[in-house]
Amino acid sequence: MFKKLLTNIFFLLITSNQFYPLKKACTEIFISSKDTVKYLVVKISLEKDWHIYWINSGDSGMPTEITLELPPGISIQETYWATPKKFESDGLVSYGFENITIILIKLPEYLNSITNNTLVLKINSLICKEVCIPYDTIITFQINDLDIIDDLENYLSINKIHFPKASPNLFLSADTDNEKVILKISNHNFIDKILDIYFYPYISGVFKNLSKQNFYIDNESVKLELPFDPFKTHSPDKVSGILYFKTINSYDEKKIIQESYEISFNINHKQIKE
Amino acid sequence: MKTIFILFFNFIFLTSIFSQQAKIDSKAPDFKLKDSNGNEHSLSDFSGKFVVLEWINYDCPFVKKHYDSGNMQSLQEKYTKRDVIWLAICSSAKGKQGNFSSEEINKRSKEHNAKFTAYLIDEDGKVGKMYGAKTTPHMYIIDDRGILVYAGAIDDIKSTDIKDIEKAKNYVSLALDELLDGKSVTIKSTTPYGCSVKY
Repeated sequence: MFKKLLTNIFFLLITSNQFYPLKKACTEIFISSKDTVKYLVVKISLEKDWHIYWINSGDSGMPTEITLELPPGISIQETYWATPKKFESDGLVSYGFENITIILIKLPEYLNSITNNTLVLKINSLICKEVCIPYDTIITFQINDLDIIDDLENYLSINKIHFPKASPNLFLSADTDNEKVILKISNHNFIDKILDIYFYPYISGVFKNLSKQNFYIDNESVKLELPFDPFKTHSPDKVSGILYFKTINSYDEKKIIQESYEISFNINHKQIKE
Repeated sequence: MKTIFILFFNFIFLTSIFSQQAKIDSKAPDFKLKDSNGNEHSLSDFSGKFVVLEWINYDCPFVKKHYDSGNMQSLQEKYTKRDVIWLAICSSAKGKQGNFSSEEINKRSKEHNAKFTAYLIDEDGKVGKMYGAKTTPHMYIIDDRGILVYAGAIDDIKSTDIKDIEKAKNYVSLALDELLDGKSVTIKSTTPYGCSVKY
């Protein structure tokens, strides 16, 4: 009996992470559909405390690049990224993901024409904890061989992945001086319930990457300050990115709602009215 | 009273140096650091010369890309032969990646056949923060009037792949060639890429 117990414990130890630790990161791909649109679901899982970068990596690191090689004449429609989070270390702020992230690649409507083709997914990225290591992956596959995720919404929910929604009826205007942009956000339903706002720009090298962006309520709008990077590389007229809100639930003040929207706004180069 | 005055003056002086932020087209902030041989260097020692500041961490994959390929060393050699001062600066804090003993620094520099003018140790990160150094590598170029004329990436391909070096546009070469030809720097700032500086 004792010998059997020892054997079982030994077997358990051998098969546990203690003896076979997880790879730092691994990628799995699936097929799913939402409404009538088919997606390649790219799931990147990371070992505890490791993170991978968003398309704008922030102060350091390297933006993650993902490409899907399709047969000639066929191109990817669009790639969708989840809302990133901030990683701060010694005053430097980066944007990325930890634990799990999912990237959706919208597939062509005429999917049947490529189901028998061999496709190649390439990921070129960097994963970091206290140190960084390259994470480059090439996956060769055929669509027909992939597992299907029946309920994509549920799958994303289980994995706690949030994608930005298309912008609701937010009114956005942005003024600038040489130091910063003030983004004015109007027509948000719960302006007085806002706990936090953060704008993640798609482009790097324009705004300072901060752990917190200052905002204030002004009449019935919110004004978000976006200071420029001291070494700003260019002065765009139009900026796109993800606007993240953290608000108190109006119906249950103990609950916090987190939501994010894809936005674009033009920058008016005139004197900021404080 | 005199002691208080001296202490106050030193506080203001030191604070003003280390809180100062470098800006393009402005005077580059002066600093004084020891190199890996224990010798002190100030930026002002090199007044009248073109100076390159290269933020370094020998264990960073991006720094390795440029050193294992010989790219960084060939830039260092090419331009130091033309009287450019090339200072590698390490702002890694004690116990963090990239922080080495002087012996280890010199050993690795010799192994890499590094051709910088000096490897400066900025263990408390003051100079790194003064310059807003975020990554390794992070490159800065100061002209012969002491003006910061470039800050950013070494080149335009953000990767750890050595094969990308020959395809990339090298911003440091571009800027130095322009300066040495008596011209203004065309591309003055780019987004740096690399490992975070380990303050």
